[in-house]
Amino acid sequence: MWNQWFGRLALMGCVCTLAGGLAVAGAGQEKKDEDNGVRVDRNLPDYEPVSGVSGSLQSTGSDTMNNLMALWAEGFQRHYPNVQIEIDGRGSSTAPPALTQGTAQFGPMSRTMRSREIDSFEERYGYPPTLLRAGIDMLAVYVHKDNPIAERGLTLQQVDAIFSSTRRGGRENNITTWGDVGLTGEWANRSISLYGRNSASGTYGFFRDVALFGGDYKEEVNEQPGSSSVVQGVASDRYAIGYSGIGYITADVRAVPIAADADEDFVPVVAEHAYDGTYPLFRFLYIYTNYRPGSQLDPVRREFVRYMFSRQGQEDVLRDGFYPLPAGIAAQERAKVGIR
Amino acid sequence: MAEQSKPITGWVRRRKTSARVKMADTASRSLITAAGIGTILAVLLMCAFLVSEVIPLFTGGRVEPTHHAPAPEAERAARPLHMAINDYGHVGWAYHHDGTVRVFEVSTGRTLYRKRLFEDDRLPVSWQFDVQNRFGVFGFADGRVQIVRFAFETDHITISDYFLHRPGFETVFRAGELWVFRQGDEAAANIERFGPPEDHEVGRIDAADLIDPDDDWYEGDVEPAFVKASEPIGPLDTAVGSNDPRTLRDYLFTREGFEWRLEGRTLWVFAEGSEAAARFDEVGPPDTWAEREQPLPPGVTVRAPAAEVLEAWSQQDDFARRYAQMGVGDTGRVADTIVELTPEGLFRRQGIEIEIEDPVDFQPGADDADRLPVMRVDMTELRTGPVISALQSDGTLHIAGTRRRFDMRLGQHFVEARGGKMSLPIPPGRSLPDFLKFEGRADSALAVWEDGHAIRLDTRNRSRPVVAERIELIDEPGVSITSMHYMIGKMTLLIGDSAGNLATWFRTRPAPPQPRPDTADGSMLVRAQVLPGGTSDAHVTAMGGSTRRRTLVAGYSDGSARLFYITSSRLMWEGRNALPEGEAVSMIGLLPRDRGMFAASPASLSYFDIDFDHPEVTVRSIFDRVWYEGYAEPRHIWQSSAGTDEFEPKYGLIPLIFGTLKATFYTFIFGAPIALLAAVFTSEFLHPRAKAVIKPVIEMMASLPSVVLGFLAALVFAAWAEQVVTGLLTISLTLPAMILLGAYLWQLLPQNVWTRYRWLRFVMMVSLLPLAVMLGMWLGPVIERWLFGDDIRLWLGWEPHPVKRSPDADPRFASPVGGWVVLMVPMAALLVTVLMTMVVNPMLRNWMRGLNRSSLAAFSLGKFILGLLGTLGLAYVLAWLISGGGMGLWHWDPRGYIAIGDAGSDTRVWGIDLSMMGGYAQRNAMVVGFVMGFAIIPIIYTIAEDALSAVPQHLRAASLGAGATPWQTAMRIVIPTAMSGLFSACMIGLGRAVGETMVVLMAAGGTPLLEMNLFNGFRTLSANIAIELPEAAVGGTNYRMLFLAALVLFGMTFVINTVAEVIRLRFRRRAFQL
Repeated sequence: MWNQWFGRLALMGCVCTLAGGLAVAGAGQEKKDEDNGVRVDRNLPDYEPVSGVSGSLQSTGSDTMNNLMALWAEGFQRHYPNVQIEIDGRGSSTAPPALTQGTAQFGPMSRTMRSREIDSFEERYGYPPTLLRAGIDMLAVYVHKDNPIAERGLTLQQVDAIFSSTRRGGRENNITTWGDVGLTGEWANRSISLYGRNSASGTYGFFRDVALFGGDYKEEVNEQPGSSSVVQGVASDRYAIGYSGIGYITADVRAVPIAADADEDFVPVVAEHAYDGTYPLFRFLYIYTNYRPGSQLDPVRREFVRYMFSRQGQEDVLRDGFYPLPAGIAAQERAKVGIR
Repeated sequence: MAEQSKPITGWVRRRKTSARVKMADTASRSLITAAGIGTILAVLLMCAFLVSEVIPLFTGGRVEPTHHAPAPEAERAARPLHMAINDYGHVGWAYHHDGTVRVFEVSTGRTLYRKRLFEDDRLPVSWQFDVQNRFGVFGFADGRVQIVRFAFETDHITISDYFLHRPGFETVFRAGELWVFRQGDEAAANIERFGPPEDHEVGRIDAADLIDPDDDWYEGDVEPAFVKASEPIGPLDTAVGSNDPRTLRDYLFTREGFEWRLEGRTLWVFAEGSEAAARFDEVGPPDTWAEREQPLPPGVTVRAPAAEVLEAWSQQDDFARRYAQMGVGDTGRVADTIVELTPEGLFRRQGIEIEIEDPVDFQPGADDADRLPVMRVDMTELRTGPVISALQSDGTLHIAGTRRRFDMRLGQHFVEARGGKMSLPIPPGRSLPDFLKFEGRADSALAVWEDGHAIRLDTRNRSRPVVAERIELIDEPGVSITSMHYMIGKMTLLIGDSAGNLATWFRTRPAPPQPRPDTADGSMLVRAQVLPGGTSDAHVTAMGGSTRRRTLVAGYSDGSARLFYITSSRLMWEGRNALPEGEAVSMIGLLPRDRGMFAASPASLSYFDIDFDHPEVTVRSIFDRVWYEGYAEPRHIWQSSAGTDEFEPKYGLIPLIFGTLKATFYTFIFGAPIALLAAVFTSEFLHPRAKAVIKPVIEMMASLPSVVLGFLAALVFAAWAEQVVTGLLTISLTLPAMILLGAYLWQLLPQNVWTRYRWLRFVMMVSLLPLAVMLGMWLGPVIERWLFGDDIRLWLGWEPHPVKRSPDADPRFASPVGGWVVLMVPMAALLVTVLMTMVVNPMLRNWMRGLNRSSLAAFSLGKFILGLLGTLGLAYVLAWLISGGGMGLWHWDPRGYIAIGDAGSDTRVWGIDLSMMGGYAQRNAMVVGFVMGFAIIPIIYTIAEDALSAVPQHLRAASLGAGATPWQTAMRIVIPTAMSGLFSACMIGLGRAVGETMVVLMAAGGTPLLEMNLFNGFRTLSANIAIELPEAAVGGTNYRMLFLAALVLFGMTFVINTVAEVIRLRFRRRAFQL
């Protein structure tokens, strides 16, 4: 782990990852067992190693999925100690150029690619990159653990008015203090400090698209380089609010229930509502790869994909705090890269 | 001569330079010349490379007609109304007036198939197509609305793909050979490890065998598409092996849904599970069956119960047979699709899937007689499902939304419908509106009449839409709207009129202090831009937008066409005769990826190639304010990317240039004085032995990587500074004050003490530092309570603008005086110093001569304390005066508000907020200033110190000898002499601050703001390059913009260095005159 970090330190610009990464190291150790209801689908196949797998893999992309990739890499290397895996998680937007340039074999992304990103890939290879749904996330809105709003919830329109300067969600008035969302007492006059992600992040894009209704972020949002720095920011600032994948939740923050609009019920951030599709900020976690249609993946990638969609791989998803795929979807995804 | 005088040393002096020396001389000279020229060349090359990467941004592009085809008579009658073409430009669909969709091959215009969309020959009365051509929505005379989805389907097939996967078999493709096994055969798993089994039979499939030149398999209008027979492609010409001849045969013949029997050389094909198959085994083949030669393997006759079965069976093979003859770039038709062989050797099959959804009934249960036609309809698709707006002939406007979700565990879709209606208040004397437009987020709808009158509806609450505002979209009388089109994202509406003008409109929410518009939803529709090139005689008849970016193509009634880029309102191309003979353009559109466009009239269709790589960027859009979609006014914004296609990229470099200057400014005002004073101190006052230690130590600071500084700044210092803002501000006052105080106290000591214990001076100074810090920290909260309403962060975040401020804002933070005090302290200190030296001292000089040493020291101390208090008092008075002084004549708040009399405004100049204070962000300019100051201090210090030390000692000696004190010598003699060196030290420090990346990357927050505010973040050019380079597609606009940023940075440092050099030379000339 440390070697990886020092290697990356040498690369300019990776330092953000480091800053985020250091915090991750702490946060990642706490196992998240809160989601007792979630089990990995028993119909998922067990991973059975095959012989003759060696080589190296590079993954460039999402920071949200950084820990998850690390867990998969760890699990995979248990079967194939000779396989070198490098993981660089600076944000989903770094995945398409890396895949297109061929510097990465896997591009984890927490959003889908834009048409123009697909275009530039396709211009080079003649076929589009292959999209695999690798896990399920509920993008959560976090507040400090003492914040009473976590008992109630926020509507998407309120979230929009908190984070957005354009307020396309339709709420008329800006929200700057906790009093504006109905908190009383010491909270009423406190201004809300905002934590968010940088523009390379898929989470940033997804949140903008869904929670901000495509509008623009306020300029006051503290742009953090990593998901864990957002959560840390919220944990250390009593009057803060921030957003990140559910995999990054810690004991110091709470995820606020979200309602799609004022007429709807608040949906608590629990796995059940990811699976039944009621949570408004539900999303898949994606992995893109360069798969030439009709061909066979090279053995390392094939086995890695098989591992990701095996019972063990999906257990890693759960271990990282995200939610595993149902077996049916996993089989569909495997088939996309010619693994039957 | 040498022999005449023998030198006494006995050595004969050689008068000629030895060859060795000459050689070394030549070698070193050429090496140095080469290296020098090389360096210059390298810099120039780098510059040239930067320029070459940037130039394509501004070179523009071209549009060229490719082909033109008159429409067949049959098509003219059917009048195409909307047309779309797939990503690869091979397949298109057109919706025709007669309710059919024609799917066609683009290159030939040949119809692939035609489909009637609606049953019973029903024809819609109204329709609207999505801007991304994903769906059409149709309104009918019976009050129903139907959605039809059009999806371009693409898949990639290789021949091996076809051959490799047949039900019941496994295949392994290895070294040009295809090995076939029964499913689950162990040999299949073993082949990887042990190689192919030896007992396999090897047969051969030859592509040539698959070609049937006289193929008339298809009936109808299909002519043989594959005229070109070229090299067989793919693994068809490979050996096929199997350990069992039966397996091989099975493999070749298995088709899903069929059974077969082989008898001699005749293959009998049955539908799966058919009786005939069972009977065949008992009685043998029926004799009435259709018969045909099947080329696989050659010579086999295939028989099936009927021609259809035979066709269905063999159609599965048709694919492969047709592919085998194609060359790269060829396209051909297979069934309802077009197959293209890509240069990568893939067969790209492109088709269209049309899905007709169940109708939505707005009058459920109504009798046929009561049903009213849906006269206008539009739809918008949200993440949760479609929302329809429909207007019936009696003026009833319906909004119908569905919320769809997919339950993964149940594997089921759930649909929940919600909606409402209202009666559209049509003004008297008007009929139904001519256009109905529904915004991209389904929260606003627009009903427009041809003369420009419009009613905007607020549909945020879908069950209860209300009128939001009434507007006039056309100013000139007699001009009418002829065409309307939404850009991608359905926020920006293009309105084309009969005078040939095109204008963009979108909704904005004016930010206070602009008054809230008198509309239901607080937003208003505004005209943002009028596109150039209007005022032609022709009117705008058709528009089409890009599905990727903000490119728009417009067609006019005189057959001309124009290509625009909306954000920068740039006219990219103008075609006088897009359609021949001046036919009015009835349909126009961009091909996907903006690689081409088409223009059509009912009689003809023209295609054009477009080659514009960077339409987003013009010099004006980079350096001037641009009115971006949804903003209340034109602004400088840098926002290059986001996760969606709808996002409008904003490439304004000004915020980044500003951020660079801001970082440099705050770094410099913190770092430069400290570094220079430290240099003067070490060179002039410090004991040489201490200097020998201290100078290297400070120089060591320079070797601290800026990454580490940035890391400390972001994670340690920023978090701490946030807690002690006033403390830090106070320290910047207490520190110099304490040091001066110490100096005056020192003077109080008896002379024999301070001459004997001179070294104590340094110790005392050092021990004063922590004392000053502690004092600052202790005073900080006191000052915070007194000046900033007990919480400076809340004070900073308090909105000074009376209109923008929410009415229940805490009045504790209203007073702007505190902020001004902070800003005025340095000013007041300067004033007091000037006053003391210019006025007070000369007045008292004569009187002071009479004092003895200790009383003079006491007097000076008193004067200093008075001066200090005076400074604070003056700062407060100045602050009070500047902020308005309670006189009500003006009000000026350092947080960004200025008012003279009653009229107040922001402190913005050319879009840049010049207020020095404002909302506190954790990562801010103060943090960067402090930490980056540490990065430049060693550099400035060491060069400045060298310059000071280089001042000849005799100047100092002369000065001291003439009775000047060391201080006077330093100020009047040494510093002026060393000025050129000090100046270059500062400039090199400045250069470092401009280009510094890591510290700002980590500690500046990274938001490209345009505010002078000390307490918020910014983004510099260099940090921007570091942040965005990994996400920029090579050769894309963002990528080239980053190179432009680099070029600008290069230019900035170049200018700074040049100016520095020029000024330095002047100083040096002056210094030489000494």
